[in-house]
Amino acid sequence: MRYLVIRTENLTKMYGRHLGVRDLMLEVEPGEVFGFLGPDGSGKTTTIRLLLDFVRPTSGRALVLGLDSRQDSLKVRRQVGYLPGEFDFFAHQTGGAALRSFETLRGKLDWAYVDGLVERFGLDVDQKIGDMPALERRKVGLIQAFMHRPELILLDEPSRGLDLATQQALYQLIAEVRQEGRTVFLASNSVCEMERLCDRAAVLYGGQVMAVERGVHLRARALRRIEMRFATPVPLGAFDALPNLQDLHITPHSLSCTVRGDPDTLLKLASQYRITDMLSQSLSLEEVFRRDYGITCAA
Amino acid sequence: MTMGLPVLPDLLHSAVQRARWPLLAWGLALFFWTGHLLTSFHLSDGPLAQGMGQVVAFLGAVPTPPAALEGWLWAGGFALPYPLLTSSFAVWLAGGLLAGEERRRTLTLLLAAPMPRSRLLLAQYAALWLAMAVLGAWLAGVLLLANLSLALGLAPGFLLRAVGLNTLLALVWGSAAFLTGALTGRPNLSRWVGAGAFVLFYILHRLSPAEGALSFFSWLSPFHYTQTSLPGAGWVLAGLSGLCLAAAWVGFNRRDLEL
Repeated sequence: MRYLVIRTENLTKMYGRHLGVRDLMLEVEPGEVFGFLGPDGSGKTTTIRLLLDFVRPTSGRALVLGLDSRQDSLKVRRQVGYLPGEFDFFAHQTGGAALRSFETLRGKLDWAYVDGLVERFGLDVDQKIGDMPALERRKVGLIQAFMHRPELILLDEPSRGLDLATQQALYQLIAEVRQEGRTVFLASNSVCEMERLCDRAAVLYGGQVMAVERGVHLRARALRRIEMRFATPVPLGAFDALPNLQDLHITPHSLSCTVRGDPDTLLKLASQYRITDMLSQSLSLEEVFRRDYGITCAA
Repeated sequence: MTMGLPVLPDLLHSAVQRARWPLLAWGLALFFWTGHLLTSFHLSDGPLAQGMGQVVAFLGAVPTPPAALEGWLWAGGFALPYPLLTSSFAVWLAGGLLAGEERRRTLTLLLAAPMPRSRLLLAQYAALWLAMAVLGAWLAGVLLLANLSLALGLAPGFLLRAVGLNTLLALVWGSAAFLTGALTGRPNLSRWVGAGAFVLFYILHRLSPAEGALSFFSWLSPFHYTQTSLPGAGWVLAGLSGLCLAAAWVGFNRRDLEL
């Protein structure tokens, strides 16, 4: 049997009569960034909790780094980095003390590497957690997830509450981790994040995997809403020949449409006219699900 | 950066820090009630004493005549007011320990770090005992100081034993709340269960006849074991807390955590 970083076998979790995940079959290869894409309540966090043995499966099992997530849960957690979607630290600690306290549980750390992470994210380690804004707390959480150079890093909604600079630093760090041959499991409801970061992504809805897509396919299927305004009149049929446009609405001085995949041809064609304004917006996950899988997400 | 700090003191620190102002408030309440109780006995002819006498008569269950200071202190302090004050603190604190930290999501990263569930549970339970030891020591100190300074002539052994049993009784209700928190992760439910158990067993204790065939009902109530003359009473109370801890251990290790 080939080595997989994560393997789930018919993993099912019921919370009473409420479904968490059902018959989950996942295979995550070493060295890949694996995305777990789904709307809120689709079972992303439940899956991570099952992998970490915070919740117990109703049936099926999960192997993490070749170890049973239940029988060897301490060993698994020792080799995994984890950023939860929601967490907090003890308010009396400083950021630095909070990070140091993890060494007691994880063993000796490479503090030069940790200091590098602190610098990269611009964290003030002397500030008390209780006085920190949410962004700084997220930074402490991010650093602790990466600081012991784990083989596998589980990130649950990692971009939540981050500013642009921190987000970029995180994306760069994920790319470096991947280059080092380590594995990242990233749960998110952002299609953009999946397109950008992941080698493969499982699309999850209602506790079930609908599809596993390669990152390039996600990019090819990504949907963007584009609106343009033109200084001079544009022929009404000027964009009709483009195959990847949907919902095209054009007037002599404006265009609005949905683009599937690469917007390059549209932009090249539009650049023949003088553009005075432009708006590009990724479609919400709910809209992507509706168009690609015919699923209407519950509010 | 230097070598890491142990995590257990952080858990204790966090719990004690959250409890420090309530601990002070409960400590002051015990101080003032004790002052009121002893002063009213001292001025036994005044209106204060008459009012206090009514309280004593209402509370009843006096092992020695209320006219004697020991009985007065028992009826006005150890029969209900002291257990009420110390137990309410224990229940409040215990409800916010494991379940409170789980709700605040401070346990998530510790468990992922990884910290075994049982170690986490023990650290939180130790915080409960630590805080209750502080409160018990405070009450003992207040009583011993009053005994000395007012030359009341009470036996220090009686005072220490009564305070010790009172603290152990409070820990029983606190442990019940802690157990509920470990099983459910719900701080408020834990506090209601702890408080409800206190009320139910107090009623059982008061309604059970002291003698006769039905007197064994009073043995079922932990309040029965606060009598200083009862041998091994402290062990019974500590054993009840231990049972709650054991059940909490099993339940917390088995259940799904809301992290």
